[in-house]
Amino acid sequence: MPSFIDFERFNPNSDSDIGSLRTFVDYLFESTIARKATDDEHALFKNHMIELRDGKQLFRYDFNMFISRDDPEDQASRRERYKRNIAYLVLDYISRLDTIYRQREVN
Amino acid sequence: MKRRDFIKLSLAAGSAILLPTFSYSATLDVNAINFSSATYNDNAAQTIIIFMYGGASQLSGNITNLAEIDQHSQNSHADYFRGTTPTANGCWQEAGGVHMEELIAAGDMTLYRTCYSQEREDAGNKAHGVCTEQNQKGTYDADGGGIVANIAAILQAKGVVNANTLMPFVTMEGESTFYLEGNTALPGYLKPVGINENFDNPYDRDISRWLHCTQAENDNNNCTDAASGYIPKLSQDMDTLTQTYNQAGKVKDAFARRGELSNFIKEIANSTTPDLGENAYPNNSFSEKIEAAIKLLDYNSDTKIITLGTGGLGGWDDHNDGRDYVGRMENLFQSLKSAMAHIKAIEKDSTINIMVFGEFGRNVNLNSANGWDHGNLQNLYILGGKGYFTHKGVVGETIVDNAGSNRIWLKPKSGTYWFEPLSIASTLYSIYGIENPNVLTGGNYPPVNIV
Repeated sequence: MPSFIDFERFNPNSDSDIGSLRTFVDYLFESTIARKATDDEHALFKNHMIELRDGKQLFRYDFNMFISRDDPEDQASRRERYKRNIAYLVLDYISRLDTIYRQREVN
Repeated sequence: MKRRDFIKLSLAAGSAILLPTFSYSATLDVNAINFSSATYNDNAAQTIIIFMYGGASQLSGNITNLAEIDQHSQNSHADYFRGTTPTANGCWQEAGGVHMEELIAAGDMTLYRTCYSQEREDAGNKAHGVCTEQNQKGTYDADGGGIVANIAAILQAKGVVNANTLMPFVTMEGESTFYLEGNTALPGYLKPVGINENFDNPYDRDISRWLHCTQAENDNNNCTDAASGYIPKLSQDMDTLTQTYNQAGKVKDAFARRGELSNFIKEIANSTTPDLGENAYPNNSFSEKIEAAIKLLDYNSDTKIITLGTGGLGGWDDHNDGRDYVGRMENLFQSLKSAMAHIKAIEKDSTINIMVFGEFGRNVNLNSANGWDHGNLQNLYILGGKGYFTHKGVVGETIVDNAGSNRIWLKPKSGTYWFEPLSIASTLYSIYGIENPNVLTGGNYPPVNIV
């Protein structure tokens, strides 16, 4: 069974860091609080995790889930680690929303 | 669940949490309250309420009638228990009586033996839920608010607590009827803060600074140094944005004060207890609770009332195997003796008080399971608070009422002093400056001459 943040679960596009971040953030939001992130929320994460580099909008180093390495094992390990970094911050944000503390009441 | 637990769990599976919500009741008219700010300020009272859930037997503090009880009881106390030795004042030596006597001799405690309810006697009410509610509300009015919530509302209305008051009410037992709000919802800063004996900090935010800091922050300041107190911009922005989405209420209130409370709780956790010598706390989690409560009161004069149960000792609904009660009472009063020594060591015995009571006492027939069924007379133990309490030693006399069919009760001796349990609420109201507590408690006043 793939992990909660396996690439299979949210189908990122390695040609678009911004688009992949958006897809991943929405996946985490929908999985935990059953809604997509708002534009303001997307902007919060994009401003922190994406930077202008070589004229392109690319992941900052610690969030680059598409990083390339010669060693395939090293590459896979780093991609997983940086993807977890993104998830950590997004879930940190979600944990500050009162929605998460109300879900069982609603159910 | 803590936030960091949520994050960890979400990475594995996702999760949800229930925070129970307060319901609202009616009938608090603060305009009818006569409030003395002079009394409030002079007393500078701080209270630890220990509620003995389950209804503790009164026998630990009163075996003056034991010989007569055993003439009628199904089983003999003298035969079943490993010692029913009376102390000088008729307390049960093996069940905390020695410690009670020391507290009384030092002028640190009053033992009231006749907290009795004629109202419940007439209504035939000895049910846990109803009696707990009544005692924690201080009224027989089912629509009344909790004692602590009423005090909070009154102190706010009279202008002696405000948004700058830090953690005025603290629960170490979770939510209870003590905090049931009146007809006007209390603002967040008056709602109880829940902590435990280890000061596990519910407001602590586990920031992974390397991830939260921007490159510029890392380059230009001490963003990654947790001790610096610097809060990364991303974390600040998260708080700002989430609070625009969060609905008004308990969670939003708690998050709004998170940073302030987090640092404060860390400071309290780092404070130390003086060396209490031979009165050192016994090794049990209840002692840890009461020790933590006193540290908190010592550190924070803003905290007025802390409520706790006797978790760590066990419950008091001793329908069977009454021997367990003896050890529990011994541990409770050993802990209370240590607590008084602690309070004296920090020179707060004039301001900090401890009140120990439950929903009711017990029938004194030792039944076929060697326990006691529900009763209608309990002890009230009041310790400390010597700046405003005049301790009386032992108050109240009891007689045995043998109603047959294993219904054997202790009742106040005819012509002697007794009071309804709602008088406990009146005592609390009085020490916090409320001059007419009887309007909140259906006409019941504090126990005679205590305040």
